[in-house]
Amino acid sequence: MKLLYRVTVLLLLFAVLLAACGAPEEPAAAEAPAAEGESQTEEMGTTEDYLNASREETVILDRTSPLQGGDNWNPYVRGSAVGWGYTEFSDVLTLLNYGSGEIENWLAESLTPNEDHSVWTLKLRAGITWQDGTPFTADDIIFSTELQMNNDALGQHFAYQEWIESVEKVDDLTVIYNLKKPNVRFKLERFSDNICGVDYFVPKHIWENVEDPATFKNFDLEAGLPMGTGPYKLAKVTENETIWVRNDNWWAAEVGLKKLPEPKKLVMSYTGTEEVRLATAIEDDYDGLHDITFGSFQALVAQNPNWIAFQDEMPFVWPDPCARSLTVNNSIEPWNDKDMRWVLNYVMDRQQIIDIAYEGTSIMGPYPFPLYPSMQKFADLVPAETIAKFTQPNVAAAEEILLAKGYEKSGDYWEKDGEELSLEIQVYEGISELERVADVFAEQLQRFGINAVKVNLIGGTWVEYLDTGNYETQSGWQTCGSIVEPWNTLRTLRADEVPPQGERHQLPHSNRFRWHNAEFTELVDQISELGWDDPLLFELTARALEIYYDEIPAIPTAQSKKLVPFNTTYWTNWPTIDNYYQRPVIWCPSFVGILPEIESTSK
Amino acid sequence: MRGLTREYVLQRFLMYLLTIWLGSTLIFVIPRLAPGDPVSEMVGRLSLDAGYIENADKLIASWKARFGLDAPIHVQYFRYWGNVFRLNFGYSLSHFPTEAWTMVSSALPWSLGLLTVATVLSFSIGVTIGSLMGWRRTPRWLQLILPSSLTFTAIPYFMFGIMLIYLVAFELDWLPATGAYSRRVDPGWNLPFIKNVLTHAILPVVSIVLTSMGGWALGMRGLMISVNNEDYFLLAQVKGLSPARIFFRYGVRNAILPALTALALGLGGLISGSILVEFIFAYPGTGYTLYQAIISQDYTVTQAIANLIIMVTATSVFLLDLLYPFIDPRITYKRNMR
Repeated sequence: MKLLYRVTVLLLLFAVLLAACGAPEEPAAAEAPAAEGESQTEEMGTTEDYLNASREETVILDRTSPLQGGDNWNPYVRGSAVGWGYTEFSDVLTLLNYGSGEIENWLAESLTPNEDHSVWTLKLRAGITWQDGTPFTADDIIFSTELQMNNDALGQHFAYQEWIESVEKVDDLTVIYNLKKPNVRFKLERFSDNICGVDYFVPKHIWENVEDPATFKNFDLEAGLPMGTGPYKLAKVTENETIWVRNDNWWAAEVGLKKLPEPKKLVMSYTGTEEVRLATAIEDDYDGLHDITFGSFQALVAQNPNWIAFQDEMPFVWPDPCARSLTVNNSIEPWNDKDMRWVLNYVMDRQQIIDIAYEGTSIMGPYPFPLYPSMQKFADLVPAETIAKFTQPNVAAAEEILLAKGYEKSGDYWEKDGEELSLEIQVYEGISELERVADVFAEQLQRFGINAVKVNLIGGTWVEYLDTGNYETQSGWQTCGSIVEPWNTLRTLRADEVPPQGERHQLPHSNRFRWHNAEFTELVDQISELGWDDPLLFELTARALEIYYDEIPAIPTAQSKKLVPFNTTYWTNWPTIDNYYQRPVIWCPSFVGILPEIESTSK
Repeated sequence: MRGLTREYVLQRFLMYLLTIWLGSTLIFVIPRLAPGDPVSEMVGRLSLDAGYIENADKLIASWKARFGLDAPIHVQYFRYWGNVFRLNFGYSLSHFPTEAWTMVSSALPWSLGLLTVATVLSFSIGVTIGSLMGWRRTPRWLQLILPSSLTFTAIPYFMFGIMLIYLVAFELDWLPATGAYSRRVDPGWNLPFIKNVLTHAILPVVSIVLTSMGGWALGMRGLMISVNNEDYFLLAQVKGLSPARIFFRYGVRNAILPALTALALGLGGLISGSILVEFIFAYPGTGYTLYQAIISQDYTVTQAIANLIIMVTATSVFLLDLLYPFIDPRITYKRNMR
């Protein structure tokens, strides 16, 4: 009996050991939940405490590619790791709300222009501190601005060189930007996350001791680098993840501007291909995903109904700020003839592009800008009969133009002087949405009788061809810019002259479509000086759009979409069309506007 | 030294240097043949996110000057060789100011660890199976079973990887799906971390081993069959030597030589990683680093990895050439011997 007892105990011990060694990793969800009734906003935790936060206290966000250069957190150099949380979890000076079109002040108490918009006065809120407790003041703003103005390797050097004459300190909380020329959009473009980007500020008390700011990596976790003023600080970097813990002393919570976010830990995580990321999401190991296809979203929701999208029914998506268009090289034959561009437009079946390329998840919107609520008043300036020419294909009209130009259809393709009418559509390889658009349109052109081919190019080549005019057309987004006003899009089409074929455009002739229209350019320059409530703005914009729709130097294809799912298993109150307090993306500075709003389901 | 002559060693050494020079020069030239450049690529990627980059042309010009990409091509070439000699490839063009070598050296241990284990296992198992399949005295029942072990060879290993992730990681929840280690362990020479790393490596290793051992096995089988008919092999049988001795000393030892050459050539592959496996398993090795560097036209990182591959491959082939006479007594490089 004694022997049996000993053997049993030994076996049990062995089983426990085996279980300990061989047990699969506990899913994070199995970690101890936060104690019921525990106040997440009042308790103060250490970095170690928050690194060990439970799944219920953690938000995990998806990244689509592995972390490279994870030791480089310098926000002023290209290719650093700032897109792994620094961008998304940092405070912003001001923040554009895509839903309302309003700009919310954040670090700024106000940022106001003088009468001609050539001098902007920034007043900071009182009580802002860096994460080490040092006050954030006008000195930091001026230091960060001058640092970039004086070093051509850093951040916004060339933008500042174009716009900023000087920055002056009035007092600890007041800074004056003296511009080289009036700019009504200075606040919008520089500091409000207009299209996924803001100008960063760095702590003067740390960076002033840096020998070479261009090679400074800004990475020393023990010293608190990278340091911001935001609600989260970087605590750990692994091969495919960054982990951020809550800064309980966040100034915005202390001064009562914002609620201290409930998540104690944020994780940016790359887990692999879209299939693996989806499987991970199904297991509740993500709370927010990057843009995925409609098919993937259907699979996700079928297996885990807690995932939601911006809209709760078709087309589910959130409209992307960059409307898609066929970028046409207007300087080469035969596409330098506007009638020939109209042929392309008449052949384009946009509904088919939406049905096939977007699986029905985009919308018709033949405009060069996004159809956001704040842009609707500018879209309404285009007559309905003009828009009608873009909503339906008109093959007969296309044939009529070609016949008038001396083309004949012989065999499969239209020809003139023995030369087949052909078209190359270049695509930035890897952007599947634009590849699909090009595939569908090429097929439509083939059916019509234009020998169209899609050519995939790696990014550098694609950009080089775009810049030097070595293309016929590209499936692109080059009219991108406007969110609340029309100038940012219209300026992409302005040009004083067109550079010779093969030569890179030089400012101010940065029109990549190689299209020149003197009246249009004059109008755009006038618009640049108008505020976006100015009645003259509407008049001038209407005329500019009239020219655009007559010439169609870039042919609008579709409104773009982003299908960005959020998981409601652990967190709720994500932005949706019915609760549009912030744009629903996880890769832009605007995400900091979501963090104080989301709520734990385990409270 | 048996079979080696000074002339032969010198000849092989010159060939070794020529291989490195030619390979490194190609690595310099080929990326530059593509239109565009890494800086334009970088700005292109930025404009994907931000829609529009103000003064992009000035930005491109400034960064090209910073990286020396505005210099004439021959100047860039001489600078490049200076860097190769110093094993200093400069800053990564797409992850400035991280140095190219830092990126490579942080990825290298992962690929080396993963692929060394996978290659050794794949080679050992494959060669053993192939030898047994090609030996006439292998029991009939074993000869029937062995080919079934090569079933997975028909499946591309990335496809097999996805199947393993789905079945083993998500359905059965036995092993972690991706990554090199989990976020809850601290990297270091401690038991939990090592255990965690090993656990994460199982699926990638299994996917490589099961799908690649068939290649070794089939090659070895063919070699064993040809050895079976050699006079010395028949003589050994006639002499009544033990089957084990005939199998190992007369069969495997002679048949394995071409496989060893292939293994030496494959050593370069350990450095370059396994792009698809690393991609699917989100494994932070050099394969994926190389892939990203090529896509973003990051010349310096591409050159660092490619030069490493060239040097390791050339060195292992050179060493193998010198070692061959010791492995195979029939081989000699003395000109007067036939």
